[in-house]
Amino acid sequence: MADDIILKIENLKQYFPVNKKGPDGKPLFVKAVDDVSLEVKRGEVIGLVGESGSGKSTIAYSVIGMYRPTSGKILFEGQDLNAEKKRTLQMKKDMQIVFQDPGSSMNPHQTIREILELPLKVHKMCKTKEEMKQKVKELLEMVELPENYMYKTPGAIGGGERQMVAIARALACEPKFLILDEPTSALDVSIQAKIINMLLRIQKERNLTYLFITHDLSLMRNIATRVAILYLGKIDEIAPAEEFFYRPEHPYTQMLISSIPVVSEEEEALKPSKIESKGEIPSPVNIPPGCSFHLRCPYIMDICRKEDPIMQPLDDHHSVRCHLCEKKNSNE
Amino acid sequence: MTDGNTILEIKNLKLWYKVYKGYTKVLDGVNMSVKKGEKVGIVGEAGCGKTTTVKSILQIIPEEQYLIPEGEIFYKGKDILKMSPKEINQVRSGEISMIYQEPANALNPVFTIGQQMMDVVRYSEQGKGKTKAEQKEMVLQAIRDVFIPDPERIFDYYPNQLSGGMKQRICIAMAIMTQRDMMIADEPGTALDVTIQDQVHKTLNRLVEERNMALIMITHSLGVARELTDSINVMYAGTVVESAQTAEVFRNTLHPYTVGLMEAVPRLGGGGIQAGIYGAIPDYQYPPKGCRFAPRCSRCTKECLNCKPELRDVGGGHKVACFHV
Repeated sequence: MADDIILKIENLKQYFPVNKKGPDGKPLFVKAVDDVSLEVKRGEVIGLVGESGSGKSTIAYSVIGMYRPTSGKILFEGQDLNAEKKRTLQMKKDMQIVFQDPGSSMNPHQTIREILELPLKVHKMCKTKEEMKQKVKELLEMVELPENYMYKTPGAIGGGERQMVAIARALACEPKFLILDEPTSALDVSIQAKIINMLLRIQKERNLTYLFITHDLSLMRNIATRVAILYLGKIDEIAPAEEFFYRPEHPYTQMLISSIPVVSEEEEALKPSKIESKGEIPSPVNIPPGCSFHLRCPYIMDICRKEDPIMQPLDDHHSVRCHLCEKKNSNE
Repeated sequence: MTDGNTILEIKNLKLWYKVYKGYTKVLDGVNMSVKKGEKVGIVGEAGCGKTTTVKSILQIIPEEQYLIPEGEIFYKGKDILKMSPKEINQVRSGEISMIYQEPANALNPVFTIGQQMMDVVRYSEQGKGKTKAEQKEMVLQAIRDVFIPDPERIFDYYPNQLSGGMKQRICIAMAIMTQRDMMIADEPGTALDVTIQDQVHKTLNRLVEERNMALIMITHSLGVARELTDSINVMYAGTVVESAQTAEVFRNTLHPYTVGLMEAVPRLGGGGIQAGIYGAIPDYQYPPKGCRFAPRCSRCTKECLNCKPELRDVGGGHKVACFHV
């Protein structure tokens, strides 16, 4: 089973210095990601969910190599990605990312053809010019765009189409692992539906693994196999997507699910009704002592103010980081 | 249709924006009415004219940018489009208030929250002739009403010292501070996180109900509309394509666009996502001759391409603009 795990994050920490000093004179840090461990199996779609400032994008950027972790390891197919100062070309080829805003992640002066050819050139995927052109055609076909889009610039096409080009670009060098950083949150629902369905089709066809970042839990329900909930740089709960919705354990998860506006009675019944959302996510510079969620938690106990809970497995797939669940476990 | 209960009625409103070559015909005959104390939702995708519609109610689009070739907007029986500037100012300062999508852009960064809120009181009917201390008390009360703790401290804060959710609450406080009969909320929760959005919506809902204000709620999310409104107008490309009581829209969805929109929403229960709607909204400079949804519609026929369907009642106040219903 061990070789089934494509990506393994071990105790990842990502701190950023801020230009301020704390009351004791020590420099302060934004703890964007604080001790996150995660395993991703080959062929699954793992979802990272959290509010803004919870560190979901930072995890993605650390994995892709935009940041060097403060501490912790990232293993891709058993290989430590940050062992050397520079990653090898092969490592970069295997892992690609699609950003949230397709408008700012593409050069507005290049044509779609030039944009799609760049990864092919960098990774020396094609020998001749004809082959390159053929490959660009295939990529456009894969994302269901007409061939003549090759000669357009990103400014000339719509937001949804631009995101499809971004996906084609990420898939050009045939990666094994794709990070999707809120690929549809800037788009309308009708276009979102189209892009999501396309992504799922490609994932099946090519047996890809996705790390899908979003703040939309109902979208996550429909695409992810497993979901991890992040709060202030830490994972609060991780479970298979289905289980998440009928058995949310962490109070924060319950709060998130109960806040989703839904469109039918059946969905209304799925939401936990007892919990009401209150408070706001605190600044990641001054993380409260004890459990980081205790300021907003309706079930707060004395221990929550003092001790940070540790991740506890409920069963094989479901883990929670909450004192409340620890108590439940010990009672049983 | 106009009876004593209707507070706002938009009749066949058309609005064209001036561009380099000619006009973009954004609004193409909007019909809508709002009753006293009613919560009305306007739902639609980006670029379908939701914001333009409400901006034309308050006349806050710069004059040189647009043209209204035809249409009427009756507020309490008077046509807003024929009002003098003085009368319009009266509507803006005493009758209708508005909340914008981006709370960060709606507040002035160089004045404190207190200064900005005092302005609202000073120029309102209720605030006139009161002492400074009384006006300040009104402001503090408004901040308390939106559940912000410690209003005295917030009073001296600058907008950048507050989080997005707090800023949006301040905007709501400004909108409810003086007695108004109607509020327009332009996607008040869209820029916020889901838990904060939920809180802001609940606060807004409670205050509007307490004060018996009419509310026009713009949103692109059907879920938000379902939870907050009494009736829904679905807009597409500058026209209202379906209009009915909220429960009726969800129980008996009729217009192909609404159906497509409804199917595209990811469900909490799972089961995958439907195909969505093919294509994009039309070019407003050269809009389709007939039904503006026809190029994307699966049920499109010759008739749709040539004539524009009228918004008609199909029973029980459920109105649809489609030939096939």
